[in-house]
Amino acid sequence: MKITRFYILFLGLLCSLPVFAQNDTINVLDEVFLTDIKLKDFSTGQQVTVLNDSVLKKNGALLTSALNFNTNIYFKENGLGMVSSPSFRGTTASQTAVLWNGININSQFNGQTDFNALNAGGFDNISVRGGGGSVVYGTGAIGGTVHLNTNLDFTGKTKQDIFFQYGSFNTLDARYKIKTSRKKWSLSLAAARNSSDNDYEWPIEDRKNENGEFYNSNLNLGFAYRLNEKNTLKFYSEIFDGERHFSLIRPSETKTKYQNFDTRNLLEWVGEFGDFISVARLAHLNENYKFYGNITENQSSSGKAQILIGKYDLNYSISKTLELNAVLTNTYTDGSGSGITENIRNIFSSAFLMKHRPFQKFQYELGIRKEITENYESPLLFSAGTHYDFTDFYSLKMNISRNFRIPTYNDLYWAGAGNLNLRPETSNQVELGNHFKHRNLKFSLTGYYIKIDDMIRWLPSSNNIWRPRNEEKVETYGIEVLAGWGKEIFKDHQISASGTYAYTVSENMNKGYQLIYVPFHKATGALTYAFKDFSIDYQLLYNGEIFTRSDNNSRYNMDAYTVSNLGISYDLGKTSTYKIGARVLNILNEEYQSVENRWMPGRNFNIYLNLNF
Amino acid sequence: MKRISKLLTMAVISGLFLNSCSSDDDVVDPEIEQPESTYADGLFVLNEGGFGNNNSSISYIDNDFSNLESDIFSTVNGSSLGDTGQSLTLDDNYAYIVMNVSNIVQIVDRYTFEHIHTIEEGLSNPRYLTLVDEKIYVTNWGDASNDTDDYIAIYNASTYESTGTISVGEGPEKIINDNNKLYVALQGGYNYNNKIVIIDPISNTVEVSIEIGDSPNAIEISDGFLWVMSGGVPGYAQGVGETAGSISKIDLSNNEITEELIFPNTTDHPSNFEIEDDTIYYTLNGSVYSMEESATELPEESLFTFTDITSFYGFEIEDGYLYTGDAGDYSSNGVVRIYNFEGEIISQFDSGGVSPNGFYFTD
Repeated sequence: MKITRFYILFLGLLCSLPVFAQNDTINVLDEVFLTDIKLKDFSTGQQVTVLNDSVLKKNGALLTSALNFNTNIYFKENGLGMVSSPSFRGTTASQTAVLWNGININSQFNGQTDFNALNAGGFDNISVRGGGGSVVYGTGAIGGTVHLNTNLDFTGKTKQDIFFQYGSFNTLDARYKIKTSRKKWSLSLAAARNSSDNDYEWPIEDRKNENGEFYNSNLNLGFAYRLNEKNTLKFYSEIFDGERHFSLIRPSETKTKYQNFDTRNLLEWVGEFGDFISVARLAHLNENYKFYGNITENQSSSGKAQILIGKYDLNYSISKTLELNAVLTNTYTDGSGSGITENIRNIFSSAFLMKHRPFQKFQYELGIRKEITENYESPLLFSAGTHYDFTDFYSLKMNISRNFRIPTYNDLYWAGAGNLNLRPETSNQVELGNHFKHRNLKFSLTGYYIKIDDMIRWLPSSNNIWRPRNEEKVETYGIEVLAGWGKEIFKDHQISASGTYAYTVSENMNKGYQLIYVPFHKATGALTYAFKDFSIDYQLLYNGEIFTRSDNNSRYNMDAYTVSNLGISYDLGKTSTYKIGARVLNILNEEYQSVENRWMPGRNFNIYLNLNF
Repeated sequence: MKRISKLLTMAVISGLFLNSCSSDDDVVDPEIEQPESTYADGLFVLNEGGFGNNNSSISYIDNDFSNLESDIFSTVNGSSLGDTGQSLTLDDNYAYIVMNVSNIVQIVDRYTFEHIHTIEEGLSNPRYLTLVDEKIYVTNWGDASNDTDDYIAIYNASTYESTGTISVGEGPEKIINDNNKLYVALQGGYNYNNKIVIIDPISNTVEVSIEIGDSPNAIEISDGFLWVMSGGVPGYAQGVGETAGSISKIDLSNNEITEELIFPNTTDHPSNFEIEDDTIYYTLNGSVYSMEESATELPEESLFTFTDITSFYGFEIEDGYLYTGDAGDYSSNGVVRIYNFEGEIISQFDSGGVSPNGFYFTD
């Protein structure tokens, strides 16, 4: 693809609907073999945004930056590249589930994913779906879900992609990807390396970001083999190895660092027998971290967890318009760490889904899920979504669901503090989406309401021991706007624009205060103009003022900030892509912090080379 | 940072202005220089701040409890105090504030709070400070779970240059001096220790080590005796059994333990030990207890229970009043409540910062 563009996809619509087929700017999702097939099939009433490869190359390898500039998700980032936790629709960091090829990879220890401990270069696309998803994806799918996907195709072609970017603070972002296939098999291999001295200047005299250096390497493999017409075997594997030093507020502080080493393996057997599609999956996840409280000493605290998942998924198409689906999953986890003695937990879950399109313009889906485990009392989860096309340019989506976030290893087993009587955090939520499409313009306005009960909070109990309790109730509601537009204004002159806006209220119902680090307003924008082989693009991020104190004492608020980036590129290639480009990040040199006393970089630069053949 | 301090200054100025509106004879003219002894007659509240947030602060309360002035360090000096204020020590001229996560000691004029110096070298997880013989001694945990890197850092009290260190056992916490000796409680850091060491400040060597109850959290000297309160090993400790707290009395003429009062339940973990006018006070499970120094048994009844406090944090007794810090949810400003001995609240303030952990009196 010559021109970098940003797409907003309305996957809740069936991709085969003619309205999509006419639009060539939509990603060719239905041609590829998406492992997370559920995302495509069971998102009725919800909206899925797809960040494709070209978008993922614009914001460096830190996943936080890519999502921050392109989605409604707000990030609390402890300085560039440091610990980064999301707030999706006003929810907490453990209420956003991250799926790797459909498998939930949130940490067993804290229930979260650190979005700077993933390399955006490892994936073919990243999809973001707002709203509940626990029926299909399990714990943490309350605010929304982020899907890291590897695609496999059987086009018979071989494609290679080399991306090499170097910039300020000795930052390197190198990616190599190869996709090749024959009739019988398909291979995808992606290797990525990201490193940075990350020693940017602070907007304080004589101060710079100290001890902020990091590196990570990521290897992602996908392989599919067609045994025969009916049976396909697929294998996905990922290795991530990273080390981050944690930056200091004062140079006199003790220097610390954090290492994580994660491996993920997934074996899948897909059988298509008439009206039945059977998918058997076996996954092994290995999560390891080490935290060095003082880098000059060789002592660390650590945690490691092995997760073994067996999954059986049977889909039955009663007719062309009616599908039934049953999913049985068993998740076995063996984890231990500093402060946590070895504990094994087993969770069995069964889910039933149906999707029906009684007539062309209307479809709905229903789902329920129940887990069986000795660890906690599991609520019955459900979801119901509908979609109605009123006209060619307007459709309405609705989704109602109950979702949960289960207690983590830290919550349950932390020595002397863990609480075995915790219940899962449970949400009841509803959303209503209005979707407009007119020529090259797409626009959606979604309103949602989420009530979360039994929020787990660590609070001091008697004797001042901090223990987790099902303490809080939170109510979050707001609106989300997504818009996208693209047009060839004259011959060879292409222009495209996209934007997001989120208004978020997230209130502690016990006290009536807005949660800290949840802005009322967040907006993003992107504009790309291309003339023949030349392209220029502009990105904008606005994060509104946030509270840093739980009593909303406005004296300690953090200011709103606007950051924007400008990029240019030129494609030298005739048949293949040989693109050179440069970007200026934070071009207006905004002095800003995402977290109290954690400055982010001012204006900085990078240059890149992208070969695609 | 500039912007924040500007905000703070604005906030404080507007606070003064609002106060001055409330009373006609209380008008403060900002053009007129403040008297030298702005902070001479009252107490300082040390707000620890959030760990890793660099938002520690100090508030000042007048002796008549009429007003709490917050953020006095950043207001006077235009810079932030630091991360996780652990303790404050006053001598005749200066206040020394130990900033635990920042690994610094902030030294200010105690009457104006003007910044004098910041000790930035040679500190690693510093905790408490004392001065003797023109020297500053600071206890340091090093890595809180490493039992071989703990030390006392020594500085010249006029030049603030480092003059050496003294290696001690795991987790040196409170440090006091008396009669030219230093007494250090080895509390244990993230582990559990059970010793008092006595250091000669001339040779800077450990002379005596005395074994007492687990996890000593307070030391005080009265009439030739060293009193130690040990909190005991808490229930959440890993690999060590829970133990009850205790009070030990050590005769300093021969360094022998003459009395040891052990709390009846292993879940009893007392703290905030103080001696005021020959009476011992301490807190346990949100209640305050008292006993005579001469008592041979622990009291069964408490004086009263602090029912208003959500998260019991700082505590001090001075001149008939009990000063309490309530950390609330640890993520918003705490509450200072001043009680009399009947358990009545005499005065109550927003503490002006997160997690008020200590009170320090100017007289």
